[in-house]
Amino acid sequence: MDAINNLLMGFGEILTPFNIAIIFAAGLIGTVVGALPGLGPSAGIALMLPLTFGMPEASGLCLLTGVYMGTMYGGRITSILINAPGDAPAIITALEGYPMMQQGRGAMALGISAFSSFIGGLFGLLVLIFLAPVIASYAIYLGPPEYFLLMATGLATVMLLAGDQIAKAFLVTCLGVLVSTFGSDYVSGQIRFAFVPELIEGIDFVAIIIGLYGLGEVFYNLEKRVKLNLGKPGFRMKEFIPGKEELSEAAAPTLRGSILGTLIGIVPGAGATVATFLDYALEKRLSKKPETFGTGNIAGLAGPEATNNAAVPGSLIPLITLGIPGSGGTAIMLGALIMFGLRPGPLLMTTSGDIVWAMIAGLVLANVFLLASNVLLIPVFVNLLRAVQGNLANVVIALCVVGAFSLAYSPFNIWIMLIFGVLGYLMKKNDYPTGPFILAVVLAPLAENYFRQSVMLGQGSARIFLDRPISLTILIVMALILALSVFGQIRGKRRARQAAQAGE
Amino acid sequence: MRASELLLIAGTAVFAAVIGVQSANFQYFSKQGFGPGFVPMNFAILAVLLAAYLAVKARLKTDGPFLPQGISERLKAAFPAIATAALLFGATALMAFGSVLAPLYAVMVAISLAFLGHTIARALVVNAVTLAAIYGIFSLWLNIPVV
Amino acid sequence: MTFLSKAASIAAVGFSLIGAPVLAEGFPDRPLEFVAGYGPGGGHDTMLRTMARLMEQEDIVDVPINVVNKEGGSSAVAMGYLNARKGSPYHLMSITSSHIATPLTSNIGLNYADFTPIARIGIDPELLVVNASKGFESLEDLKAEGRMLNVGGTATGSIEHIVTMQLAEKTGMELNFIPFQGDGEVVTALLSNQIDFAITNPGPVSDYLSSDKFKALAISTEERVDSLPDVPTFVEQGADIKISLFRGLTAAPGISDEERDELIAMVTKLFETEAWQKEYIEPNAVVPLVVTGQDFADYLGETEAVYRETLGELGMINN
Repeated sequence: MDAINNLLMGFGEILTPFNIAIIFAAGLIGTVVGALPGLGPSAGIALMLPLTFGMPEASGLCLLTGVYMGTMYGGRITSILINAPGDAPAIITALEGYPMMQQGRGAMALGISAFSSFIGGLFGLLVLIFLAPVIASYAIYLGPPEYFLLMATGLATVMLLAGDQIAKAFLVTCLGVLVSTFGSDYVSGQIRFAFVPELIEGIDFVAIIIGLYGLGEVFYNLEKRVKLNLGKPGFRMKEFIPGKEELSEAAAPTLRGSILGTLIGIVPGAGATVATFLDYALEKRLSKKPETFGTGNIAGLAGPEATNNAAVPGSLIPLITLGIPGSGGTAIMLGALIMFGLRPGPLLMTTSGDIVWAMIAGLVLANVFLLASNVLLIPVFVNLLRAVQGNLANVVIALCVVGAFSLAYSPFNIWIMLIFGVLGYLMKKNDYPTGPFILAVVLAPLAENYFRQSVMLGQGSARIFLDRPISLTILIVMALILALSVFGQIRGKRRARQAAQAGE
Repeated sequence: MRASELLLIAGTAVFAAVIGVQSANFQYFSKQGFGPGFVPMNFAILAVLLAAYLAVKARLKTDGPFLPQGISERLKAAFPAIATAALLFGATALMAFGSVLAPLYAVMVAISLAFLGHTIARALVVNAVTLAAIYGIFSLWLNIPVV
Repeated sequence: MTFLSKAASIAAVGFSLIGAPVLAEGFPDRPLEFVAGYGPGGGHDTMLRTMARLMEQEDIVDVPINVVNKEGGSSAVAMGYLNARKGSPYHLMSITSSHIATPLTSNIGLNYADFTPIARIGIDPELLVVNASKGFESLEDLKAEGRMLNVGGTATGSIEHIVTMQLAEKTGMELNFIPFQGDGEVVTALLSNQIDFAITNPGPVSDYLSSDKFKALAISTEERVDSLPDVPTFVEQGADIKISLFRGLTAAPGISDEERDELIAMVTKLFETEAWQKEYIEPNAVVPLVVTGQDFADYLGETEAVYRETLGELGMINN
C-alpha cells in the first residue's frame, strides 16, 4: 500500500502547529470569500498569494488548497440564504436550499449541505489518493466525441427540469444558447456579436447568475412585499445540526452524488456542472415524491451538493498526474504550483512527490476542518441574515452590484447583471424555469465546440462517433435508456387505459 | 395573457431576431461541419417560432382579449420592481463618473424609504452601515478597487 | 528579423544599455501601475506580479508597484484602459500576440502603434511534437505518411495555426488543423494518439519530452536554442518557418522619449538580475531574447504583417 505510506508521509510533513493553524485559517477565509457573490477560488487565492512568499513550500500550498476548498464550501452559503449562487454547480443548491430558507429551515439546509459536501469531498479525495494514476491513464482516451456526448446528455436533462411546461423550457433553452454564442469562438477564430469590446470574451457567466437569481429574486420580493420572519437571532444547536431523520433521508443521495461527481468531475470544462444536473435528475427519478423537488427537497439538496464537492478532487487528478488543469479553479492551482517552483506534468509525482502528498494530506485535513468550521459558522451566517432581514433587499442589491463590479473591476458587468435581473424577474413571475436556461448557457458552447472538433478529427465525417469504442458505448447506453423510458411510458399509459376501462 | 409574459416573449423574439440577422455575417457551413453562424442562426429561428407558438397558445386558451387588460392597475402592482430596476439602471449610468458606492447608496436609501417603510434616519444610517461593511470587505480586505 | 541576429540575450541587453541615459534621479517618483489584460492567476498576472516583487526585492525602484487586472475582450479592455492614460509614464502593460491579433480581428480602433513599445522580454518558440510511440524521427517521416495528418493546436488563427498553415504551404503536406481549448487538451489528444502531431510551446510538453514520451521534430526559431539543443529548426529541414510567440511590455501613448528610455532602463536592469532568470525565465521555459524601444516596435510591425496576411487568408480580418 504505497498510497497509504505516502499519505502518512504527507501528514508527517504538515502536522505541525503552524501548518494546522494555517489550514484552519485558510479554510475560514475561503469560506467567507466564497460566500460573497462574484468571488470564487481565484479571488481567494489571489488574496492569499502574497502571504505565501517566504513560507516553506508545503505550508504555502496548504494555505492555498485550504482557501480553494473553503471557497467551495462558501459557495453554498449565499445560494441558500439569498438565492445568489456563485458558480454553475451551486445552482441546484439554490434551487432546493433557498426554498428551505424561505420556510425558515435555512440553518438546516446549511447543515445538511455541509455534511454532504464533506462526504462528497472525502469520497473524491479517497479516489484521488488510491486511484489517481489508474483513472488518469484511462481518462486520456476521452476526447471531443465523448465530451460532446456527455454534454448532450447534460442538455437532455432540460426535459426533466422543464416539468410540465415543455414549450416554455424550450424557449428559455434557445435563449440560453443564443446568450452563450457571444464572444470569440476558438474553433472558427471568429468573434460573434461583440457590439462592445467587453463582449469579445463573451458574457460573464457569473454576472448572469447573480442577476438571474439574486437580483431577480429581490425584484420579485419587492413587488410581492415579501416579509421574512426568521425570528430573533438565537443559538439553539438543534436548529443547525441535522437530526437522525434528515441524515437518513440525505444518506443515500449523498453517496450516489459522491460517486457520480468523482467520475464525471474528471471531464474538463463543465464536468462538475453536468454531474450536478445529472445527479439532480437521477434523484428526482428515484424519489417517491418528485413533485416536492424545487420546494426544498432534502435528497435534491444533498445529492448534488455531494456531487459538487466530489468533483473538486476529481478535477485535481488530471492536474496532479498529467499537469493538465481541468477547471478554472485547478488552473489557478497550476499557477500556484509553478509559483512554488514545482513543474506540474507527468513527472510531478516522481520529482516532487513529497510536496504533492503533503498537499493531498492538507486537502484531507482542510476537508475535516471545513466541516467543523462550517457547522460552527452556520449560526453566524443565519444570525447575520436575521439581523439584516428588515433591510435584506438592500443588502442583496449592494452585494450583487459590488460582486458584479469585482468580476472585471468595471461597471460593465453591473449592466449585464441588471439585464439578467430583469429577465430573472420576468421568468419567475410567469413561471418559466431557469434551470434549462442556465444549463444551455454553460453547456451549449461546449457541445457546439466538441461536436465541431469531433467532425474535424474525423476529417469531415461524423462516423468518428461510431469508430471510437468509448463513444460507441456511450451512444448504445443512451439509446438503451431512451428506449427503456419510452417503453416504460407506453406501458404505463396502456396500464392506465386498462385500469380506466376496468373501472367503467 | 399577462403583460409581463408578453414582454418576456416579445423581448426574447426581438433579441433572437437581432442575433439571427447578425449571424448571417458568419459562415453557416465551414469546410468541415458547420460554421460559426450555424448555431446562432438555427436557435434564433427556433426561438422566434417558439415565441410565436407560446403567444398563439395563450391567445387560444384565454377567453378574454389577447392584449392585457387593466394595464394601469397591473403596473401599479408591479411598481416596486419596475422602480427598483429603473433606479438601478440610472445609478449604473452614473457610475461612469467613477464612484460605484455613491449612486448605490442613493438607490438603497430610496428603496428603504419607498418600499421597506423605514424612517429617513433609519434609511440613512442602516444603508450607510451596510455599505461601510461591504467597503471594508471588498476594498480594504480584498483590495478590489471599489469606491 | 534583425533581433535574432543579436547574440545571446544578456549581450543584447548590455548592448541596448550603451548610450542610455543614467537613471534620472527620482524616477519613478510616484507609485507605478502594472496592467494585466487578463485575470488574477493567469500568465500575464503572474508575470507582472513576479516583476513587481523582484523590482522591490532587488531595489530597482523604491516606490510601491500595484498590479491591476483589466480583463476582458482578449486584452481589448486593457488596451482601452492604457490608451486613456495618455502621457503617463507610470503605467506598464504586459502584452503578447493578442496585442497584435485582437486589433485585427475586432474593431477596437487601437493597435500596437498607438502605444509606446518598451521591451520584448523573450519568446516562446513553437515546437512540432509527435508521440514517441509512433516512431517519427523527422519532418521527412511525416511527409512520407502520404495521407492527411491531424494537427492539434490552440484556437483557429493562433500562432500554432499560422505555423501549421506555413508548414503545409512550404512542404506540400496535407494538414488538418484542429483547434483545442488550451494546451492541456492538446497534450491529452497527443498522448492518446487522437492527433498525429501537435504544434505547441515548450512549456506544456517539456516533461513529456524529457521522459521520452513525446519527441520534438522541429522548432520555429532561426537557430537551435540552448534549452533544446537536439531539436533541429524548421529552416534546417527545408521549411522556412521563423515565427514565435512573444512576451513584452508596452507603455501609455504620448510619453516623452526620455520617459520611455527611463522605463527601458528600469526593466532591462531587472532582466539582468539572476533572480529574474531563476524565478521567471527558467520555470516558464521562455527563451530570453530581449529587444527594446524602436527595435521592439519594428518587431511588432513585422509580426503584425505576418498576422495580417494569414488571418486575411482565413477571412478573420474585421477592420
